[in-house]
Amino acid sequence: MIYNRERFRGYSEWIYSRRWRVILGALFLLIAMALGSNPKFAGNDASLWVSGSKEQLRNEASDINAFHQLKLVYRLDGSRSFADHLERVRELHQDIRTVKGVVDIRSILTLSRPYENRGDAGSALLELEKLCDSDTGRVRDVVTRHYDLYRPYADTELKHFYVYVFTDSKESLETVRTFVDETYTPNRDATRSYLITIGIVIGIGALIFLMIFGHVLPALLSIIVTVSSLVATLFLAQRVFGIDRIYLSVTLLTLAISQMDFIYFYYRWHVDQFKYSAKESLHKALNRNLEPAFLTSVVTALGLGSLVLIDIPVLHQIGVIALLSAFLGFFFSATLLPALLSLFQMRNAYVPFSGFSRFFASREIHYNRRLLNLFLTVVFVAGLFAAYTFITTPPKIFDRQAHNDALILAVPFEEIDAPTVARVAALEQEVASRFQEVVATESLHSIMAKMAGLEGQILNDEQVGRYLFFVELYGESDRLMRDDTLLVHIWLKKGTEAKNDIVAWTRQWSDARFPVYLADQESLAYAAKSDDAAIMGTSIFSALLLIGVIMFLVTRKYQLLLISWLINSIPIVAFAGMVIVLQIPLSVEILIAVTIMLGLASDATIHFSYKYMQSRHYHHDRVIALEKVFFYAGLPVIIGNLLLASIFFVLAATTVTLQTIGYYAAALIIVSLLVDLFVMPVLLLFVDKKNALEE
Amino acid sequence: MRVVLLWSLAVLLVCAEGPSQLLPPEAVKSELAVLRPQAIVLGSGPKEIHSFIDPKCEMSRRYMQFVMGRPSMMERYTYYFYLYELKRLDSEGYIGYILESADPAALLKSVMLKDFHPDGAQEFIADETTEQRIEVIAEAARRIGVNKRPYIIFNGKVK
Repeated sequence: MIYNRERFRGYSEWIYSRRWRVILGALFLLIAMALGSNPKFAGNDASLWVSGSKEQLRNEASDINAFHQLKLVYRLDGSRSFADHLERVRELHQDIRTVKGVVDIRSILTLSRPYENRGDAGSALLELEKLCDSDTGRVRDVVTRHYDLYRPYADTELKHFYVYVFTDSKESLETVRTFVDETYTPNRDATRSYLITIGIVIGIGALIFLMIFGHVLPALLSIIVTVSSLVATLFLAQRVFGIDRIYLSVTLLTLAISQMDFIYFYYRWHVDQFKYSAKESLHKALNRNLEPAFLTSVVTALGLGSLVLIDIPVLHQIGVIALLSAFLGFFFSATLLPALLSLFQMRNAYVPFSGFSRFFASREIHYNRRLLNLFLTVVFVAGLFAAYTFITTPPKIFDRQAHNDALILAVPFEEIDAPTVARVAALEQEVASRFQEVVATESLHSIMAKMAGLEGQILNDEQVGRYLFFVELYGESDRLMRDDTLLVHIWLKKGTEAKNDIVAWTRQWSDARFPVYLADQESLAYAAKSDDAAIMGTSIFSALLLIGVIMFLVTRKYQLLLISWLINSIPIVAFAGMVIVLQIPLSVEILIAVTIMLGLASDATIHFSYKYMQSRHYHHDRVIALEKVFFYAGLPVIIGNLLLASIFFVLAATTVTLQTIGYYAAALIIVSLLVDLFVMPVLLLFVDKKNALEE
Repeated sequence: MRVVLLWSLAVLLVCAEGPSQLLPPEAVKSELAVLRPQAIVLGSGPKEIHSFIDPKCEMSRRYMQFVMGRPSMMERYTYYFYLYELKRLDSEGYIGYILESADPAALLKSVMLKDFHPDGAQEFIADETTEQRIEVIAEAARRIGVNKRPYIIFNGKVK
């Protein structure tokens, strides 16, 4: 089958004769799809992890809403007096309070310090002092004398104030940010920023195509095929799979997959016009690429699309987008693109990088066997180490440094009585004693104990009832209780790495002692990452295995199965090593970047292998066969990967939301390209030496 | 000189001492059970807060502001306010005026929260029934050991 190079001539004739119907049909279909879908775009990393996670579902079952929190650092520099700085901080508090959704502000000005009023009025009323209205001298005096209480909110020399803002929504937090950074603009409209991103991508792609092919046509056609794939993917994702909220970065999968399909078809049509007519070039492009392109679509759809089965929202969505993009990219490249190509011809077709194919072929035919074995051994050992680290100590690869130095736990109650308060006290004391990074804790128990002068002791029912009254009287209960839970605020040392250790410990405590919930978004994200790490690693690994198995089922060559595993693994191993060594925070961007790389790498593997097997059938000389492979498969891989790497790099440099994924994806694509150019041909030659690839 | 020093020490002791309680909690509860009809009552919650206040006392007013500023607490607590004069404030007239008014609770809130000074309240002379009522409260307060305003009793114990 593979050696019949004219199998699809009938199809290409059909497309040629009905090109206008195909073009108009596709146009109407796309318009209908564009009008029939209205997905929302989201671009937030924490919410990607939290949504649908085990702890989030647990919170939802108990009607507990986690806070969003922001830590503001105010520096008291020498440009103003202490009094002026204090006034600015007061104004900041007032501004923040005007933001809807702000639940609490914690700072030296809002901390309530219990004390007994022994003034001349002879009052028996318990007092809680807040410094918000105190004069400068009083503030300095109280904070200095009672620094242990104020430790989370100021440094010892009062050169920095730390203001913690707690909100019930991300949007409120974004608005608060604008008060501290005049240049900061909340990204309110993800759809608008997405369209801008698409514009950047299109612009960069057009420029690169123009530079490579010396013509504007590939840029235009590339845009049409990519936009068609994207519109259809979004429509089907929403209407068939019920996904209304599309994560911005996941749609980059569609871009990558559709671009590679486009490039293989277009490249062949373009370069063949050096010798053949436009119509004949179109026939050749379809005949040579339909089968491998279909195979890559099947491999990508089944390999990456298997993520659809995973019950984690972000992975599920990646699977859906990969599945749809694989088939739709192929569909439009095999129908709309040839129909459009049939309308044009390329006079004086420019063949980019044509000298490289001979250069690579002539060099790689004389590969060093020992070097190859050494390289494969190193990769294998590194892969084992990365897998072991990932499985046994996944927290090591998470973001170790806490951004907000604060953690909130929630202990549910039916009634606020002595046993309930004692549970909170036990939790608070255990956390403080077990983790040296804990600077301060606050809960209903600690406040009441301070009021009673019984710090560190357990309160009885009568004391709980009494001091609860005062806590409620002073309006402190709102920040100490929420959603029928008692809150425990934990402040950590600046720059601590212990936050996720505390999260992990809390979950164990909750399982062993009594229910405790994570009540801040950052902790929920840590927990979700921890839970999903193993699944993520397993899913990527499974996708890798599946791609190889499908390669084998299609080609019936076990050598290609092994080559596929190896070629696709090398970039992942290299990247995993970098993540572990440099302690790069694990994020969904890494996951998507790896998925994109897997899709591209499997594409290249199939096209390379397919072309090599075909060429070896017609060319006895391995150098000539390899040269053909580089010319017809290798150059498209180079062009496509360089194009995508450039696009991702520019995205990283110009957008905030896609910055991380841009750099990761660009790096992975480059590594994958190097592997495709230097390792895969050598492996093909290695297995071919034993004539194993010939039938 | 000795008299001055002793007097200063007494003042210091008075100012320095916290709220006192001369009776054990159960006895206080018994006193309050008898005293309850003399109270101005706010709220309807299951938990009882008994407070001795002076309507002209600044701290008592502050206390009342907190109470009225937390309407949700009215469902959890029942507040019993006993009007007990702080001698230096000379508020006997006000107390009698409030207790004899048609709506003592409303007038108490006006006086304490809005700084309302009804005409004739300062010089008001209460009738015999009201005088007895004021005296009953005062006697109970002396037995309990009320030495501060507001004097807040929860479950038979002061803070």
